[in-house]
Amino acid sequence: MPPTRSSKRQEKAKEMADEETAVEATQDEDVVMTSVDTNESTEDDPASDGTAKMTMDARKAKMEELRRKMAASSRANRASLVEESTKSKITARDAARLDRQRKLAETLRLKADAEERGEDVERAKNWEYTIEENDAWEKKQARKARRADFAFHDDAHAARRRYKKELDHIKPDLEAYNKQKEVAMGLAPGTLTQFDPKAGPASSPTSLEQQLAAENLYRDANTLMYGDSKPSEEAIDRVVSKINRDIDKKGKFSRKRLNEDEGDITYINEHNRVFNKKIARYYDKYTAEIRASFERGTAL
Amino acid sequence: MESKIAPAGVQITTEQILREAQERRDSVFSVPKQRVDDLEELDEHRGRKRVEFEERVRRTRGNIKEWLQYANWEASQNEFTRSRSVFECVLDVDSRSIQVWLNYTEMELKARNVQPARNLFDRAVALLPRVDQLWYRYVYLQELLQNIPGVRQVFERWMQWEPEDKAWQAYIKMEERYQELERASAIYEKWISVRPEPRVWVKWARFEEERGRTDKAREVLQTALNFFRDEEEQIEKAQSIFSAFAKMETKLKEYDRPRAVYKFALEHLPKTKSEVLLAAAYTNFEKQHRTQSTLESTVLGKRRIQYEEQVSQDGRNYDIWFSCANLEEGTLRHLRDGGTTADKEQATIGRVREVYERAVAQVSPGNEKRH
Repeated sequence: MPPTRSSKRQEKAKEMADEETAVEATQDEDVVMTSVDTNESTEDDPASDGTAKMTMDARKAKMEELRRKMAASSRANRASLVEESTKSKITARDAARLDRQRKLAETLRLKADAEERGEDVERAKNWEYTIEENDAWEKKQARKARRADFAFHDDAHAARRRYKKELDHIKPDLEAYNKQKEVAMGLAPGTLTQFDPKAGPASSPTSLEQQLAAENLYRDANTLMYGDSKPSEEAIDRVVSKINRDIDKKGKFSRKRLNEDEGDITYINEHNRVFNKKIARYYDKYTAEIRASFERGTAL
Repeated sequence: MESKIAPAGVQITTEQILREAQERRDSVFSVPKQRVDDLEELDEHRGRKRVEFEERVRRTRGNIKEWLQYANWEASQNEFTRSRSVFECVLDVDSRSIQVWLNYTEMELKARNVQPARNLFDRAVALLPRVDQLWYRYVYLQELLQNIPGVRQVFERWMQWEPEDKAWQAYIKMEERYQELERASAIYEKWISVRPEPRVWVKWARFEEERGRTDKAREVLQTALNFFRDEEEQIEKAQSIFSAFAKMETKLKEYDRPRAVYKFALEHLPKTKSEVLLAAAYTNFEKQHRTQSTLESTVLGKRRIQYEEQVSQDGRNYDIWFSCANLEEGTLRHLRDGGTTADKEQATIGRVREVYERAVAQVSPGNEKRH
């Protein structure tokens, strides 16, 4: 609950009362102290009254300061409260947008400054990039340019493009493969893969085993082995998730557009509307005059 | 009596009719929602649907879309044996349709039946070996299942059909992904034996270079050059090999070989545009790693070619002739300063004279100074 004025006043009143009692208490203490101190020095006697008065002033000053502090802290609390409430109201998207605008404004300002001074902002920025970074960036841009051609040329081309894009999602499991390879090539376990201390002392496979493993791993077109791989559950999961991904993508292929009404209804149903759009797309450039004269009502 | 046959004052327009129709139309007809309460009702519902589907495919036997709808509906009802039988019927109708094969395999994979899907791909690929799509899908499936021996088997089968270059490259990339570079090299060899084109040689050489086996790269390019040495037109095609060879050797800091390669190339190639490019590359090379005389001779050679071209285009442009003569005289002066043998000097003087003779031979058409 935000602090109301009345509650604040109550607080202040309470504090003042506290402080006054404190002042009184300290006053009493002081009086006691001074009476104790009379043994020590008689000169303090007239001064002791003065000190009691001064302490009173000092106490008053201290109380003023405390009041000021309290007021300041309550003001600060209020401000931070307001800030938090406004922050919670701005959605993440708006925040991101404001961020972007701010960055854009900054870059524009930098550019304007640089132009005034006669420097080249681009070159100055390029100093910051290493050669490797630059190479990687250019490679990325080249790859993007190569992939940008989405027109359909022919089936084989489309199939290959799809294959290459899908390859990005495969992460080759080199560990498992290298284990197989070790067995196949008869190397001691651990040459190609990480040394696994938990695995028991595995002996190198016999030559027959190795031969079989090698034949199994490096297959030819004429190998008669077929249907001997049992994929793990997670492999099958991967396949199914890939298929689901494809279905999602196909669903999103044609974006739904808002049907802004043209005002001119020239169709009798949805199918007709789409057909009219298609016809317009192809024939509008040839029928411009005819349509204009229709609008006018008379031919020229 | 007023005539009732006259037309009304305000006529309605077609746009008005259409607009009114649009405003007053009924909501779109939607299929009434049927609720299935127990197994009997479910069976009845399925039976009805099956009758409907069978009617449709009976009427339009060649319409693959209807068949696929039927089969996919059965799959969605988890009736996989029925779905499979429908798919087999479609394949009976048209076994060369890629759509059917892909739908069939997708159905099996969605049902998590991996081995049946692989069997199907095997059949499809045996039946339609020239359809790359099926091969790509098969290979991708095997790799996604981490069945690398299977991937190899499929690729080897595919390569037996000697497909396009991209397929070979896909195979090589796959081996590279699993760090089997020796096998990749072997695949390149097979590719060359199938398609010995210059760009394939160059690709192989670059692969070996990136692998770090420069001796192998050199061997490859030398074999390539030997292969193309015999005929003239082939040498023309093989320019890329020359430039690749020279570039590689320059990277390895062996400067004699590229020189020899360039000289050989420039001697044997006819004067075409590409030769000029090669000459430009040669001059660049010499500029970077040259000895004085060779650089000069190449630069001069290039300039001479340029002047020859210009002169053949327009023999009357006296400025060109003058620059030509200046070039030759410049070389002569240079030689004299440097101190050379008499033979060379004589040769250069001879060249200067030749240029002047040719210039003078260009007779002007008329007696006036300007035409």
